[in-house]
Amino acid sequence: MGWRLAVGGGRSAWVRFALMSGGVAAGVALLLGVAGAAPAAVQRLETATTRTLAFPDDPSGLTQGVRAEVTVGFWRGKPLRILDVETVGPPVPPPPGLPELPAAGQTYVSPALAEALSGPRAGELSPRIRGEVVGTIGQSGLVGPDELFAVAGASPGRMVGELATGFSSPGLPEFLTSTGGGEVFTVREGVSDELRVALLVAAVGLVVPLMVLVATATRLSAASRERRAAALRLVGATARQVSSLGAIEGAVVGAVGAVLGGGVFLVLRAPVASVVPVPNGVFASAVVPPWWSVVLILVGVPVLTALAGRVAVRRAAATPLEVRRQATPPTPSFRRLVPLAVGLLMLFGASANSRAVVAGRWYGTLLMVGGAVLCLVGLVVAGPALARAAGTALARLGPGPASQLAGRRLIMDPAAASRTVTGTALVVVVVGWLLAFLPLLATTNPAGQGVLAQVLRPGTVVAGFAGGDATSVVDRLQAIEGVQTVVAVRQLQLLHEGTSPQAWRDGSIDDPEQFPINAVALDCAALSDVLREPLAGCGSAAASLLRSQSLPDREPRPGRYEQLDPSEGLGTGVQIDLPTDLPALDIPDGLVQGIDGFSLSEELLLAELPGPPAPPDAILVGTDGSAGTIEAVRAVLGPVRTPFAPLTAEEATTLARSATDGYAQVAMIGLALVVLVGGISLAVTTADSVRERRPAHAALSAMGAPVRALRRTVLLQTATPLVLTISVAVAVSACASWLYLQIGSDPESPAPPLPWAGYGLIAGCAVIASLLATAAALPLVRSATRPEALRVE
Amino acid sequence: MTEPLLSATDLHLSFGTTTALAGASVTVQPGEVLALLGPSGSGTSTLLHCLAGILRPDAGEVRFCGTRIDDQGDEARSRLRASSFGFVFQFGSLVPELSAVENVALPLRLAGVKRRPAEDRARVWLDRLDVAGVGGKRPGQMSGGQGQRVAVARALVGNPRVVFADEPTGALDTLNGDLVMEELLGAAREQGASVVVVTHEARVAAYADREVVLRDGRLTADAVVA
Amino acid sequence: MSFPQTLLGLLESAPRHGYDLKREYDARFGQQRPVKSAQVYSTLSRLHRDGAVTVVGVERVDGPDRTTYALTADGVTHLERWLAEPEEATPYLQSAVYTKVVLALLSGRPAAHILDTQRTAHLTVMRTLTERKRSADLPTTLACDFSLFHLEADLRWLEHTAARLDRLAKELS
Repeated sequence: MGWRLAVGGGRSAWVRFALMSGGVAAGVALLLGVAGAAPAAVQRLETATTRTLAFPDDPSGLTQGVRAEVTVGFWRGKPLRILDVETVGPPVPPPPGLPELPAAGQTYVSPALAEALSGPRAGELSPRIRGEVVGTIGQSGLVGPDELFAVAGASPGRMVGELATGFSSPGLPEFLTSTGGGEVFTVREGVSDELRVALLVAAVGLVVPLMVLVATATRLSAASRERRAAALRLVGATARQVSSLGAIEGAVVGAVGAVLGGGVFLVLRAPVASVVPVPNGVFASAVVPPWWSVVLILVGVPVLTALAGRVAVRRAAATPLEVRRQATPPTPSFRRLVPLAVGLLMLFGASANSRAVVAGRWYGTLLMVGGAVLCLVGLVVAGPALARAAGTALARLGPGPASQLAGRRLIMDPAAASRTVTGTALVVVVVGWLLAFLPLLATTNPAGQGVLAQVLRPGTVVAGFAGGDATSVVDRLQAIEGVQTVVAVRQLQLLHEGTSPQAWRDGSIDDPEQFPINAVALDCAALSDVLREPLAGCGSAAASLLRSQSLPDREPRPGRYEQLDPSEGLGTGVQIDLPTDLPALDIPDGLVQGIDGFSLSEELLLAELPGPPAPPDAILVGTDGSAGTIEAVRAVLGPVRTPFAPLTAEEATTLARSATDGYAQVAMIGLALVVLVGGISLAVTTADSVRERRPAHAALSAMGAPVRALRRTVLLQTATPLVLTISVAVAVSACASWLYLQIGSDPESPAPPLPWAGYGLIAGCAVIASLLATAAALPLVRSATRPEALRVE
Repeated sequence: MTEPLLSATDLHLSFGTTTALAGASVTVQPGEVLALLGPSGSGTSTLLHCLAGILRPDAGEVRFCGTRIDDQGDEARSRLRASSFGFVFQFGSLVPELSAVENVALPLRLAGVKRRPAEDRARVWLDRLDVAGVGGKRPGQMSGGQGQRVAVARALVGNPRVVFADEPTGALDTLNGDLVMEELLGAAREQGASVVVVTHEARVAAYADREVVLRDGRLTADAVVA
Repeated sequence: MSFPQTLLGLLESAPRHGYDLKREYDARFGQQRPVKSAQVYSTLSRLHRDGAVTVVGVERVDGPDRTTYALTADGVTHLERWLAEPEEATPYLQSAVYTKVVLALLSGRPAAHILDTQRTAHLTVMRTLTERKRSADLPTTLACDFSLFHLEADLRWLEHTAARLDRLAKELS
């Protein structure tokens, strides 16, 4: 019976059924995608973990085990990771994706890297991949199908890091630690708390609007179905029968939609995964929703649609005569604003009790999470009241009959109007939250500021060295076509002759005045060459004082200094005289706060390196910026030990941001999809409501109302509640994020400002997307004015 | 004979394979009440829609005050309908979301009259048709007779030259039907407006000065009664 | 024929003489066919003979005698019985129009023309009645409506027949 009612009744009923289950299917496919994205993201992060070493509590006593070190480089805009490993003693179980650890001189490469190595640009890469390629790395050892990754066996004695017992097992680390060149540095790749929150917010923000969309899809032609239910009730069906008919119809739509949606998900998973712009790509087979979420979706969606179907005929079941007389539904009162207000109040409470929140007290968490959920739910509940308010204002204040008509329609059925816009409004709230929290992610990101990129000329490669084999590098780099400048940087420490090197090494010097001063030796004119703004004051002085906002103001004592040997801590015998009046050289702050491998934190700049010739500690290579030149530079540097891989400043910034940006991007894509689905459902609902009003439209058109006025009515009818609801959504989003940011802030780290421009952008995008969707339904208005509709069917 | 206010000559119109009009001609004199009589499906409504410039015939011509209207664009015909014609349709064509006053004021507002004066004039008309009491109600809250009287008020509020009525009593009992017809014709006569009424009831057609009978899209009689 | 009972009904409110009764009858029921004075007097004398009315007075006002009649108890009973019993429904199976149509079809004359002419004639009468209603009081309007509904019923039959003339011709031949 329910099935017959759902699809019986000719072509238009079939079209309606197809639209409804199609809408549900789109929602289900997206829900499955969201459910599958989280495990895929976790798997990526876990894969990165398996490349780290598991150290025992006291690694110093180990005599056998494994050393490993990840070098992150760049090749043609993509990160290139090389894991050097060295086994001491019996073999160690390899990380996932490898049959065994490579022996010295052997290398395993990822399929994408293997392809690149056999491609036309192999010459740029092969010098950087040491050893002979003996096999490829399997999917379980890779973050994504496009990842450039190699595991290379290092020759004994080349690596200096601590021995570990083996590789880490999968799990979510805070940091991925790697040792290189005797120094410990960290590459932040794991999930930070902020990222975890952002992912959670994005997931909630995706799921809630999708649920709303699914429920909306089942409410197509609500008015005519309600009348039909009322007619059934009048010919003797009981209220229970009518309710269960509505529920069965909803369940049928939901079940068909869920099965269709599952099919759509399976069919579209691979093509969609291949185009999602996440760094390193996505393995389609990794996007697997956990079984419980599949069950939850496939069972929960029909239950949800059955409930929606039951609610849709509720009024018809209770008061069928009123439905037949098209009586005004009860006015949504402003009590509907209460949940929203309570939600904001809870967030206020959380903000006032920020200590409880930070300490993780249960009520702090309740206030924070509950407040957020109530804000979203409250917006849905408040929707009809807002739509009605919009309608009243429009009917009273709007000029012309179009706004009067639109306003009256909103007053008559505010719930229908709000249903079409709440999904989009929820997306706006969630995107608003993400926008507000993104600065938090960025500021906690090392080297994410991109300051060096702002002072260096684009295309300048920065490289730091950790060994003695870099001596001939400068000449070879200068020979490359496209290389304009090579700045060799040599760092050294100078100790005043009044201080004994022995005393300094023993640590018996307390007076900071007696500390050695740090100096850097480089060609000032060459440095000026690779900067965006040339340095003023590169004179002929042998030594100048470096000045910038971030450098301490310290004037070295004049007199004779001796260079210290960095490894021994003793004097080298090389001496230099500093005069009383050192000329100052102003350098941009960005050079001081630079990235891994390069920063000028020294106080003194020497024009020439005293003593015997020595290899540089770091180099800056000014190039013409072409990918070929940059890769040629890297190829020359390939065999050299570079704990900090040669990167341009821009690449370093991109790399540092890539993890966070990738997830933010995926979240944005998901939200864009929700907006898209919301737009489609808006177009369908609009078309449906135009169809339902055919007699009135035809009469209006016969009376001489121009079609354009009718279109304006339809547009106003959508646009007014849309703009109002979106404005409230932005206000809620801003208010909630402000409160959240207050929780995390203190006088020392003030909350970042709210992204008002971003709010304007998302609100504008949502409104424009929705209006475009409505506009797509407008051509139907003309066909809805055909005079056939003037006769009572 | 004076020049007719409205005339149709040899109209043909098909919807797909269905022929609705097959050579219908008709004239309407100023102030005349003309009935288009015929069983359902005989093409009476289609003829009315052609005369009113809602539909464009496949062949033949329609003239209003001597000017052809069937070859005019949608926009121009809409303007003509809004300024010179009034319409009463079968029960149910009032705008369900608007109150009676707003429904009656609608043609004036479409013609650009401000809300206040338009609604004042609407109230005068509702009063005249004895339905001032339902001014604030919406169509769903009125009886059928009240609804049709509101529709008559809506048709006449803009001082039309011609009122087109398509089965105006179709959904009413005979008494309410008679009352609505009397009010429609009384008011139209007072305004000097012509009326074209489509009906299948002889009693309703008897209100007209003259009737035209259609069968299968053709006229069977165009009897002029002095 | 219900004329005698109609006179009884008119006499019920107050005694009247014959001329009075004729005038009132004409005003109320006889717009189309006024009753003849002779019929009034002959009916009254028959009712007097049957004991339904009685003579309550005779007066002379420059001319003939005027006899005033009143209702008797028998007359009231008679009137009430008549009011209470339904009129016999009379099916006019063999109307003149039907006969004409059949004859036309049988002789191959255009039967539709007969129907069209008849419709025009019917509508002309209906139009006249409708016109009369416009300025009339309610009793007149209702009297007109009675005729209008009957004529409309005839017309419906005309339309009904017109729509099936082809079949009728086939079955008759």
